[in-house]
Amino acid sequence: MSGDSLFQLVRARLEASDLTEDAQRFALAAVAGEPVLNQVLASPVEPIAARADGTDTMLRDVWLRSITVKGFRGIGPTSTLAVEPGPGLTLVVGRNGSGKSSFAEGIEVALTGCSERLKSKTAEWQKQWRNVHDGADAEVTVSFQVDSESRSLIVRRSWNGRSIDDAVSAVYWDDHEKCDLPERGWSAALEQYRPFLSYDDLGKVSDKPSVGFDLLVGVLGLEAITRAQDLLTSACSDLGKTVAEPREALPALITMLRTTDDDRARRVMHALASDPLDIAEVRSVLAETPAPGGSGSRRAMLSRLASLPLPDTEKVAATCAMLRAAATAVEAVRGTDTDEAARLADLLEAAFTHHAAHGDGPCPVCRQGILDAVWQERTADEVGRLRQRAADAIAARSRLARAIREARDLIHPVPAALSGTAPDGVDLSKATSAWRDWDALTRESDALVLADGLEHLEPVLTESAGDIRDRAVKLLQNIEDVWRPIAGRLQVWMDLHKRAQAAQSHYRDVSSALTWTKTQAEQLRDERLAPFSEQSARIWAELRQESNVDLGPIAFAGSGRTRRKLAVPVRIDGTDGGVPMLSNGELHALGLSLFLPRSTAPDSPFRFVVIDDPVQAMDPSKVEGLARVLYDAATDRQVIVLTHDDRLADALRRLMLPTTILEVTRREGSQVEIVPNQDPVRRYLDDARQIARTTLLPDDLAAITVAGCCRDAVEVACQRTARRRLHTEGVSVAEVDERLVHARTTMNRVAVALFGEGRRTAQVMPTLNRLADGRWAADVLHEIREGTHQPRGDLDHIIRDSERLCDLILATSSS
Amino acid sequence: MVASDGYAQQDPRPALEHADRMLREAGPDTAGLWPRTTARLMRLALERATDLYWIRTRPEMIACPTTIRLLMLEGALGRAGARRAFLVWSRLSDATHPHPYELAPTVGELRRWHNDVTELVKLLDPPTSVK
Repeated sequence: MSGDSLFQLVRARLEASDLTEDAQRFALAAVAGEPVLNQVLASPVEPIAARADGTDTMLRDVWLRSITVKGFRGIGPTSTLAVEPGPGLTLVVGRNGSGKSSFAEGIEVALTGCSERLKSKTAEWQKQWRNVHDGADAEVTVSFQVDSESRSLIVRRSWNGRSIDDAVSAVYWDDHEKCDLPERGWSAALEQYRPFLSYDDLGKVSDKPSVGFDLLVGVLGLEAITRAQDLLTSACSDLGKTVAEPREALPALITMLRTTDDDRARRVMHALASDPLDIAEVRSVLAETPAPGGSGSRRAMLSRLASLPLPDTEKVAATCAMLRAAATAVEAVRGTDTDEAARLADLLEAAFTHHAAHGDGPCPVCRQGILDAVWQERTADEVGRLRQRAADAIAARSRLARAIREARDLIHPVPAALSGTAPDGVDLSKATSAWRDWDALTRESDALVLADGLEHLEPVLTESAGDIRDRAVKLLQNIEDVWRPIAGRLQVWMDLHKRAQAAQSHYRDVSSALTWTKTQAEQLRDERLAPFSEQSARIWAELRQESNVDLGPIAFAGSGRTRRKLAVPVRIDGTDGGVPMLSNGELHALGLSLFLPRSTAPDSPFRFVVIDDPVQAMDPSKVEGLARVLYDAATDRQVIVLTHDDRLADALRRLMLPTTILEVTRREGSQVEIVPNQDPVRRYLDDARQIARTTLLPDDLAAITVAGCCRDAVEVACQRTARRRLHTEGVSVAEVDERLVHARTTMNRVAVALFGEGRRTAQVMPTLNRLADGRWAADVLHEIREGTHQPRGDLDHIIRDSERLCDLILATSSS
Repeated sequence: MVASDGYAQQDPRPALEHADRMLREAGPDTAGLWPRTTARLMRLALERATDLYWIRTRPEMIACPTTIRLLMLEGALGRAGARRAFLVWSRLSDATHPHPYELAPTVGELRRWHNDVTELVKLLDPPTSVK
């Protein structure tokens, strides 16, 4: 299953879930990958889309066409293993050392750059990868057929140094257009599905069933959700830390606050001790500039003392000067009756009005004087003088009054701060008495006395109260010096708290997303494992044959994050046993049961699987099961099996399962040859025909060799017939092997084939005559029997009759 | 078929030489069939050398089964030599016979057997005793 379809599946399941909208978004974003999750956590309005992970461009339905190897491992001169690019079982048989495994390793190295088998070997061993005869130009070329592509895909790896890693790989279509496999998603797919199963791979299951899980989890197509779990877990833990941080930092903060008796610290402690925390209070404490705290607090008293309203010395001096000047001015106009002067001026002005109305004449008031122009002139000056004097006096008096007012304004009444108890042992008495004297001046009305008083008392007050003020300022300063770092740390804590508040809802949603994702991952894992588990059980059932080992359903063991172990429930004779109790052959059968479903998983882009020697440690009875398993897998897969003996091929022939069999042989100088090996009966007969035609041998040698080949053909036909016959009669495989081994001569072997019993040679010839309806069968058998070294008849005739004899014998078991 | 008789027909050496050629040379004619064919030729060479020895020394031995003829070679090859001859012959027989699950012999095995047979043929047919 590709990452994208998993994304769609999770989306659908999320919509049906009861998670909050944000939690759903987080879960989905986590499946989409880390960058998406980070983005969504930062701003939860972004729409979520699955990442393009190259799934669309993945090359799918990949079939193997050929593997060409040169100078690598057991292969010297260029040798090509060509296979039909389509479903079916291909068997590549060759003795150990024939070079067959070099093909398997070649394809693995070409695709992955290394081979599991090579990796597990020592450094010395790893140096021996070049062919000893022809290793100068080592090169492996693998050709693939990719669905819907008419061109072949070629992967070529050639070596240019001593190390197996000194190599260059080229990937291109057969028209030389370059292709990039990692971009096509192959690297991960090769890792996930491993279309190569070596003997070592199969053995891996042995002691660590958890390895099996890691190999399987990729196939289940759930990495995205597994990764999502990891992402959400880490996001959850980050958010959890953020949320818990202020509470965790609280004790240290309180301890720090306790170190000071600052009223603000007490307020903050109180606010932080309440439930819920009174953050508004802390904020207001912090917002308060070094201004009043509670009125009774030390800090409040000090700050009141610090702000004692001391007189301004200069202003006092100026006021005193002003008082004296005003007093002098008033002295100057002493005796002036300003009202009288004004009234007189009014009277004279009335006389002007009279004079203006009546002209010159005697004074209407005294009747003695004359009101005329001279009078008017003289009197006008008089009026001016009168008015001026009155004004001057008024001004002087009003200035004096103002000066006194201003002087009184300078005098602040005794501050309340001085009447309380002073903190920190500050002596207030001197200042208080000075201030009382100072205050008393407000009742003085004589300007000169006032000025003298001010001038006299000001320095006394300034000194005594100023001293107090300075001390208070200093003490306050000390308090602030202590408080400032505390406030700083408090501010940091407030920021943490603010972040924690902001993270709170994310934390809730992410953790519910995580819980949901975990449950889903387990559910999906179990759902998807089920078919694999069933397939494994089916394969095991085929392979177990007479084994007393039962394989239960494979499941994930443990829970949560530890559910990374694959439990393989093994029961031996009905009691629970462990994997380590299995025999080597059983382990490999188990390995195949677990890994074949993986290599042939429906979502794998690879339609081929190369299995190197699965038969090695298997006992003969399991080989038939293996043949069936491989044949079943080959119904829709290209299964290529390399094997070092003929057991598997023999089983497939016996079961009449159509298989392509290729035989690998290696001549001197590492020349590797591959020839189709359809059926040993036909193969020996073909050998005989070839020898009869060849010019390579003199006639006498050819005749003897032809007879030998024909005899072998007949004996193979006998073996197969015997197996089929005895199998239907319920004789065990081991017993069949026993009887065949004991049949030493050609006649014995024919007897086993015809009667299931090698000793009944006397009946062979009569039976053959009856079955053949004539003497030809007995004749040809006589002709090719061992000991008759040189056949007398015509070679073509002998070969033809041998073939008829083979068919005759084979027919006796298939009816 | 070459019409030949008597001694010439029984000469073990042509079979050995042909086997050697097949081991060394690849040809379209022999692809795939050479391992079994070389084994056959080598076995034939060994049997012929044995028969020649008995015809020369005790002609009545020809009537005995091949295994007896080989094991009785103690006089010519010593006890160990006779055993070796018998062993090589058995392996060559196995290689040509379709035994259950056995594949064609490897080139290494064939070369080793070829060396063995060549030596045995020489011992059974010393130059001084020829003609």
